[in-house]
Amino acid sequence: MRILATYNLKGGVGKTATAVNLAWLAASEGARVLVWDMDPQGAASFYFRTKPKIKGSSKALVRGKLDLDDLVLGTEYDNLDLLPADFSYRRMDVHLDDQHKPVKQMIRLLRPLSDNYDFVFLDCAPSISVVSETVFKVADALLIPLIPTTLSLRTFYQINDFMKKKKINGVKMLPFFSMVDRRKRLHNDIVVNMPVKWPQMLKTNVPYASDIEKMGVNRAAVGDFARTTPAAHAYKALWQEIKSKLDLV
Amino acid sequence: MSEDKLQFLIPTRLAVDSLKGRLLRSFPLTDEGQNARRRHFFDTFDWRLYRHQLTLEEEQTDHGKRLVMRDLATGAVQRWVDNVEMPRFAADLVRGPFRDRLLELTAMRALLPVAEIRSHGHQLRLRDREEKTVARIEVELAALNGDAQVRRLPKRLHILPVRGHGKPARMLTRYAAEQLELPQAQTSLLDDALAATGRKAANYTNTPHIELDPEEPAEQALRRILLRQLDTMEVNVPGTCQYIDTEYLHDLRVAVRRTRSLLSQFPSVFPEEQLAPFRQEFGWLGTVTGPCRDLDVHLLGFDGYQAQLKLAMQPALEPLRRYLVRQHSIEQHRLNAWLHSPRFRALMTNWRAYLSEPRQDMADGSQPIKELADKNIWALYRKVSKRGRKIGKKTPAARLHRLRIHCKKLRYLIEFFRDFYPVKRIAPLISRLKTLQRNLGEFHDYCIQAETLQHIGEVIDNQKLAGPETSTAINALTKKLEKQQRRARNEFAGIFAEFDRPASNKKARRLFRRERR
Repeated sequence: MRILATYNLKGGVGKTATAVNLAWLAASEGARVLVWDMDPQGAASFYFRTKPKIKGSSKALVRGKLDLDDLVLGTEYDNLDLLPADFSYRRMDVHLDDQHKPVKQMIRLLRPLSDNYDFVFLDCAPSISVVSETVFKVADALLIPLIPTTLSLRTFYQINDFMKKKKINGVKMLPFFSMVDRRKRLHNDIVVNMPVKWPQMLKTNVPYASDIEKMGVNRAAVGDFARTTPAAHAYKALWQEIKSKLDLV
Repeated sequence: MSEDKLQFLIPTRLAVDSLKGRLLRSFPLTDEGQNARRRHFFDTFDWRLYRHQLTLEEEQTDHGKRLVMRDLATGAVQRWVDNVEMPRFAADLVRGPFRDRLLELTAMRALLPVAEIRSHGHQLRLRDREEKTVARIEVELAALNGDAQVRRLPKRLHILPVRGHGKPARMLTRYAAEQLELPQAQTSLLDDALAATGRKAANYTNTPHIELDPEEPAEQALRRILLRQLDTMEVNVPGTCQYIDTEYLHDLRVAVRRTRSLLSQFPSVFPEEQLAPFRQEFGWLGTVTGPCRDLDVHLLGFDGYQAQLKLAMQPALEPLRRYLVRQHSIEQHRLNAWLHSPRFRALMTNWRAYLSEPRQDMADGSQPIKELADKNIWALYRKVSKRGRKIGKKTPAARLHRLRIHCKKLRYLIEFFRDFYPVKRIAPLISRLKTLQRNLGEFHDYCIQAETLQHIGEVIDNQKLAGPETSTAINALTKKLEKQQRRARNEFAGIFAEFDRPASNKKARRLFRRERR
């Protein structure tokens, strides 16, 4: 089981769209996939037409009183399941911090899923917290969508500094440009110049596209309702690139 | 919810529109319309997927093709992969979880078409307030494809639950059973499709097991076992000749070996003068089918050969692969000629005629088969023990090879008659024997592989079929194989000692000698 987390300190950069679309692509290739919506805003749950509510609370979940497997719900897609968000996740940080060893506890929570899933996508909330730090330590890769703007890049540097400070190096950092608007000169400049400085930037750029915004209307993955659009192609290319970085192709 | 209740048959008297109408009036279902699909079922010759309660389909709709692995009984999707053509082998699929799972199930066996249906589905969905599907219903009208005359299959109602939403599916299931009074489907759609063409799934297995009565006269029981082996040989001939996959020839050869083994183990049941010609002919069949199988083994293990070498050296082995493929094609040609020869046809026909005719002319023929099986298994067991004990560090490899053959014969006998013995007692014995066989098999394979590859290396060198880098790579590989051969040899003493533990021997003695004490 591979754990992939979509994360950025900044909100509104396309984390959830990335998690949902990549999860859909993985499922369409024969993988069994789970998306864990860890963001109390519940955007991923919304895309999967699910109420952001779990049977129990994040406190009970973190303490291991709830079996993660029992909270999983099917979605509109075969082999793509969801662990919905819950408003109580806003306090998950506190509950996880209460644990003697949060990382161990998170691994213990995820372990029973490994027989049932090939990929788990963790759609993280935009913050640096005990939860995100734990995610950095348990995930195989961190998928970091970046809007090519100065502020967005700044958050990427902050994430990097945090990783260095906390000596977290077991996770593969996979930043990529998201919501790229080719009409904007700044976007174009950053997309060209940033990879020179940061060669680990993925080559695929996800465009700013109305089809991605329509995910909220259709409550479905782009590949499902707009299969042949540039946005769907971009996610497909992104997924291929991520798989090759993880030595899965 | 009990999963076997999820598929129902729709009686012919009940029109689909009327059924849908009743469902739509009783539940807030949305009618998703109809779709047409072509469902092409695939499985291996020995039904590996069916035996795992799975189906593999290439499903074609207006939107494209997808491969789907489904649960046989419920039709629930286990895995799916979009926009992919059905490959001949699982290994030909693009790397990914679908390929991994299919490869795990089917290994080197080819995926063969087993049934094709045209299906017309009426889709209904039960959604919650979030517009999320919480249960699906499909009314499926299917007919066999490819026939001039349309053969319809029984209409089905599938209830497809969504994980975490058991209640709605339970409700629909209860309605189908109690209100609509639909009978549950006792067979799968694939079974129905096969039955419509007079076929049956899982009709082939290479296991030697047949039901035997311990008191059955030995001559009659052995004839039945041997006839089964003959069937196995014959049924594998077309696949062997067409080289669909490597396992047809393998199964054919195993059936020949089992036959030869039985003929040598029960000499007192059939008159020797009648058996001798058959024994000779099966020996011939074993010999002429050997070269192709040897090359199959090399080719099946080729990726493993390459993996043993350093990455930079691996491409240098490709000329060897090409040589093996070319040789295989030559040997396959020869093999086909043998399998189409009057000699082979005569052997099959005469052997069947011989086995079909009961004989009472031998003393042991009327003896209960269990008694004879006990006696022969115990004799072979003792032979293996005695010969194994005599093997030391300096014993020539040929003696280990002979021990391997005796072990194989013992295993065949135990497998033929395993139903005569309690599972609890026979299973540990088989497990011990398997471990010993694995060690002896590895030792033998490494010996043969190293020897053959060295020889092929010389041929490639002499005929200048490749550059010096290939010779270097083959030499490196041969050395690795020799090293593994030494390791297997060193492990033999410990593994045999485990097989030959006094307590285990005592148990075996009790198992096979009980009746005689």
